[in-house]
Amino acid sequence: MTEPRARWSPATRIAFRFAFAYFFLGFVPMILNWLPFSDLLLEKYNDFWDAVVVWFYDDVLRLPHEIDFPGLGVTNSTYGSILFLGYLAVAVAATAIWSILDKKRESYERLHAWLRFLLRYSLAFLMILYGTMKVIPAQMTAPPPLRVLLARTGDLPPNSLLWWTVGASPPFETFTGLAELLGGVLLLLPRTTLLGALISAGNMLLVFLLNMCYDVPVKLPSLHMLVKALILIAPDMRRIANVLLFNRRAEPSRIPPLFKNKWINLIPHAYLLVMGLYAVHGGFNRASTQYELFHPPRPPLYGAWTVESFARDGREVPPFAEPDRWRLVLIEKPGALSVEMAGSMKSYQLELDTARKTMKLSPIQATFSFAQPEKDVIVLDGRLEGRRVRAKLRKMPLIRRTT
Amino acid sequence: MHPWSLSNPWLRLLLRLPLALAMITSGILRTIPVQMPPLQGFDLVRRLGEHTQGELLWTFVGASPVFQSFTGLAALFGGVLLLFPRTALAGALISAANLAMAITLSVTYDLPFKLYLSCLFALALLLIAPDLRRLADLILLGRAVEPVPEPPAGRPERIVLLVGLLAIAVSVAVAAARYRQLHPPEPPLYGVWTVEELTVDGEKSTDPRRWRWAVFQDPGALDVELWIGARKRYPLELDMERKTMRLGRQGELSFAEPEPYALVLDGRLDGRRVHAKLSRIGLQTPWFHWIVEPEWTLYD
Repeated sequence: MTEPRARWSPATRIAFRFAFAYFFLGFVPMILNWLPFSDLLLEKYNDFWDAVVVWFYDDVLRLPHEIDFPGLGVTNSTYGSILFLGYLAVAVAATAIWSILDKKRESYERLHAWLRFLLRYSLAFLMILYGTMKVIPAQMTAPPPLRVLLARTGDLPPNSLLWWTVGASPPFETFTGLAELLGGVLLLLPRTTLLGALISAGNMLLVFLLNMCYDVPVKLPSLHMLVKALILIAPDMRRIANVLLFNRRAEPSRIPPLFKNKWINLIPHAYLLVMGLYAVHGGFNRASTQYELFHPPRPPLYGAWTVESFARDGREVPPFAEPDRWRLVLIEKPGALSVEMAGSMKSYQLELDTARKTMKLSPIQATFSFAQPEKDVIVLDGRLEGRRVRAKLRKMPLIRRTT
Repeated sequence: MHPWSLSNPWLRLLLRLPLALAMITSGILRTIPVQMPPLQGFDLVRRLGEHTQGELLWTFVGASPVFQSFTGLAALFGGVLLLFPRTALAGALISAANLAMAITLSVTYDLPFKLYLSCLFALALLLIAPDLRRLADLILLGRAVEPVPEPPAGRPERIVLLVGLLAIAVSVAVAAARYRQLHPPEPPLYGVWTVEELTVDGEKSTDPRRWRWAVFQDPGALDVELWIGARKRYPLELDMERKTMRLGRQGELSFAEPEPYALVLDGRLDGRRVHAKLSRIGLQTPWFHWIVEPEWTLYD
C-alpha cells in the first residue's frame, strides 16, 4: 500500500481496543462456528462463562435461588446481565493490558477492518431476522387475537400495550419490518454499509427507546444492536458532521480492506452477501410459518361484536339493566360462539348455516336467523331460551379495517 | 442562478421557514408531553377493542410521557437545524425521517393528517433535492465532498431566526399551560383501583351491581363502575388523619394502605357491612424492570 498509515489519537486507540475486546467476547461462538472441529472448544468457552456467572451469582451476590441458564448470551435475564458485567470486566482488563503492551502502535487498520466485518455480519443477521418477522406481520400478531380486544387498557403490561398497538395495524408492522430489512440488507455490501448502518441505527434507536419506555425485556440486546451500528458509522462521523453541520470539505472515506490481495479480499465479502441473502430467505420462511400458526382459517362472521341493541319480546333491554343482557359476541373458531354478559363469559356450540342464514346455539335453546345489512353489522332475530330476541351487533372498532 | 433553482437561497428560505415552524411547534407539544394526554380515570378500563386504530395509537403514546418527549425532541431537533442555512440540509433530512414515520402512521392507523403531513414532507424533499449528489458522494460512494457557497447572513436570515425563537417561546408557553391543565394536583388516593375482593355482610358478593372499579380523580367525588357496567358517583369527604371516607349519606368507610398500591376499605355502604380490597391498576404503578427472567410469559 502506498497510502500513509493513519495515525489515530490515543483516545481512539483505547476506544478501539475496548470495543474490539468487548465485542470479540460475544463473537467467539460465531467465529468458532466457521472453523472446523471447534465444537469442543465452543463447549469449553461456554462452560467457562457459565462457571464465571455461577460463581458471581453464588459467592458474590449470594442469592438464594438457583440461577437459570437461558444460554442466549447477553440478555436482560439474571444470567445475561451477569454475563454482561463479566464481558465488561474482561474487556476493561484486556484494554488496559493491551494499551500498556502496545503503546507505540499508531493505528489498527487491519484489525478495524475485521471488527467491521464481524459487526456487519452479526448486525445484518439480526436486522434481517427482525425485519422479515415484521414484513410478514408475525412478530406482533396482527391483527391481535380477539381475546386481546376484551382486555382493559390499564390492565395490560406496557409492553403488551406496545405489542398490540403495533398489531392493530398490520400494514404499519410491515412498514417497520421493511425499514429494518433494508438496513440489514444494505449492511451486506461494503459500499452500502454506511447507509445500512445509518438506517439500522435509526431503527434501533427507536426500538431501544421503546424497550426502555414500555418495559420490553430485550433492553440490552437492542442497545447492543444500536452500538454496533454506531461503531460502523464512527469512521465516517467526521465526514458526515463536516458536510451536514459545518459545511466543510469531507475527505474521501478510508476503509482499509480485510486482505491486501484484492481477490482474496472478495471471499469474506461474498460469503457475507451469500449468507445474508440466505438469511433473508430463511427469515421469510420462518415468519410465514409463524404467521400461519397465528392465523388459522377464519370462520364466517369472525370477529368481536358489540351488542348495540338487544330486545326481548319486543322490549329493548338497555345495556346495564339486566345481568343476562348480551354485551359482546365473539366468533373466533368454527363451531363456537361466546357471549359476554355482566362480567361473565359463556361459550356455546354454534351450528351456522350460511346458505339459509340461520344459526343454532347449544346447549342453550337458541335459534336465530341472521342478516348482515353492512359489513360491520349483524342482525340476529329468533328465540333465546323460549323468548323472542332481536339483537343488533356491530364489529368492535379496532378490527373494522383489518378483518 | 435561475430564480426558481432549488439552490436559490431565497427560495430555500421560503421552504425552510414553514417547515421549521411546523416541526418546532409540534416538537415542543410532544417534548412537553401534551399532544397525547395521559391516561386517566375510566380511560384505563376501556377495552382495547373499543378504540379505533387512531385512538389506540394516541392511548399508547399517552401511556409513556417519556417516550412522547423523545418523539418531540426528534421533531424539534429537525426544526431548529432548519433555522440556520448551514444546517438546513441536516434539518431537512431529520424532518423528512420524522415526517415519513408520521405519514406512515397516519395512513396505517387512519389518522386525519395525511395531506398536511405530505405537504410538509414535500417541503423537506425540495430542500434535500439540490444536495442529493453530495449526499450520495458522502454516504454511498465515500468520495470527497466540497463545501457549498453560503448565502450572506443578512437581514432575512435574522428574521427567520427571530420567527423561530418566537415560535419556540409561544409553543413552550402554550404547552406549559396545557400541561398544567392536564395535570391538576392529585387528590389523595388518586388513581383507578380494581376491586379485588368484596364481602358484604361477611359473605363474598356475587351481586352484578357490586363495585368493579373505583376512581379517585375529581376532588370531592368517588366514581365507581359496577360489574353490570353502570357507573355511579358518590360525594366524597376524605379524612386523611382518621383514615376515613364519607360517601354522602350512603356510606362511611375506614381505609388502610397495607402496602403500596393496595387499599383496604371497611365499613358501611348502602346500609350493609362491607369489606373490600382494592389494588391500583397496573398502568398506574411503576413498571420499569431491568432484569426479566426468560420464562416470563411474553405479551399476554
